[in-house]
Amino acid sequence: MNNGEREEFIRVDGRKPDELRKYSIRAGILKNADGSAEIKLGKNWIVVGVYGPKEHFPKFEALQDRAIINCRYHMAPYSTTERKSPKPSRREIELSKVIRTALEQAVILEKFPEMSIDIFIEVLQAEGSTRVASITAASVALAEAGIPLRDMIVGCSAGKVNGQIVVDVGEAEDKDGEADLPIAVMPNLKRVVLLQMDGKLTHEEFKRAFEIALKGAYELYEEQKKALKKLIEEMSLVQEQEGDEDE
Amino acid sequence: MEEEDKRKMRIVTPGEKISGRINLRRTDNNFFIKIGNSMIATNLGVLKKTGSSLDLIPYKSVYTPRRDDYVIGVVIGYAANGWIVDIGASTKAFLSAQELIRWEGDAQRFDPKKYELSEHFKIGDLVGAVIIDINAQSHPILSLPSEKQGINKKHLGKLNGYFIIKVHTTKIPRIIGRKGSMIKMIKENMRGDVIVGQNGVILYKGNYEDFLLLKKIIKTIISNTFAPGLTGKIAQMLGVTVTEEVNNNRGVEHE
Repeated sequence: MNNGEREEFIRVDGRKPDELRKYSIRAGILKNADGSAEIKLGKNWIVVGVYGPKEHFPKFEALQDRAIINCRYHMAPYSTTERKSPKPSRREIELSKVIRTALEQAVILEKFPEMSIDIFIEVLQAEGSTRVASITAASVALAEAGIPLRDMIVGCSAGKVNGQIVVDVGEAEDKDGEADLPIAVMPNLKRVVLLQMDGKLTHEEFKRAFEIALKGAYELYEEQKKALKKLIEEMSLVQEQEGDEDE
Repeated sequence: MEEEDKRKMRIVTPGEKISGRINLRRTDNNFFIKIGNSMIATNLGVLKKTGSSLDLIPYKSVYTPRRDDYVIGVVIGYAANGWIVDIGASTKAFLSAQELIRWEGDAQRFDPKKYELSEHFKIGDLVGAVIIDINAQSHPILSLPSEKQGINKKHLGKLNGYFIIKVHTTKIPRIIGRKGSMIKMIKENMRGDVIVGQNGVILYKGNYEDFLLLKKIIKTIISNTFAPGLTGKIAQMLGVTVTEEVNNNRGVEHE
């Protein structure tokens, strides 16, 4: 495939191959949770609430040297075009685990021995790539809760549709596409914390897909930062002045 | 002056690299970790330059109980030899009955057969105490010291008839102010009794109008945590003229 071809390719929803869906992130939307965030990515609409750290129960399950993360990814019955049973499905249990292991890399769990942190992810509306959008929102919610993090975690997906590598795969593309590759990274530490692949990609295609997903992730990272900074900016009139510290 | 204060501050998010000197010896300054050769901020907050070193004033942080913290808690249960107290930390605190007996000036030993725990503290009672230790299971152990600087005896043990204001623990250093300047000003210029627990509980005994004023003051402090010139604003609310000494304490302070 050459560059000329790539420019001509228009996706189902009219996006360019390397264009994300419309996105917005808001932090601190729930009053009762310790930390919360909301992400809108295309028609995806996900709310995350974080509680803790708190004492872990039952006690015999608590770890002596670090905290435990409990993560629950749940799709609301009205999140899809056909009613989804509210009972946790096999897919939801798996995604909860995948998201948990990704977030465990960032949270400094050693600071809270014998405790647990609860993360509740509620997908109100789903339109593909919900796992990476959930991770992006959960990381903002954790930061908003004041839980110490090594780095933010931001996720983005890429895929292959009609032989073309595209970023931020939507629902229609996910179903008809040949492959999809969700990734989550720590942007400052440059570590990959989640990498899954469905379908088949050649070496070259994989490289291109990873690159394009990484670029999308960095774009969302800026939005994450914006959402968090807005919390403080709303509180005060502090104007950000870069480059004032000692170099 | 205010412009200068603003220029010294910068908002940081978790994961951002910090260049500059950080005073890691300060016990409350643990919002940084070292990965490789770089210092990384772990919390969302405002980075402020004090003198030659950098401080991070967090937006929120988890309250980690420390030794010598004065805390206000609620009795939530009984153990075999004392009370379990919720102080708003991630673990529950413990106050032993022997400690209360000693504090009340009794020489007797604690006898579980004769001593009825609920006669002294019932579930739901407010208790003021000092953290003496954190045990191996990270539970704070409370004590009632008979003589401790800066703590009034009537602020220990059972606390009755107080209005309660709960704030996030990150805001307590700002409410107390540098070397206690803010809380001193509030206490001096308000009728009634104001108690501030390190765990984010503020108690007030006095008339209701004054309580509403205190609530308003606390709200102002919380919403202006990162703004300079707060002491002046609070002094105005209390109707105090800003003296040179008070004026010097403006800007973000973090005790």
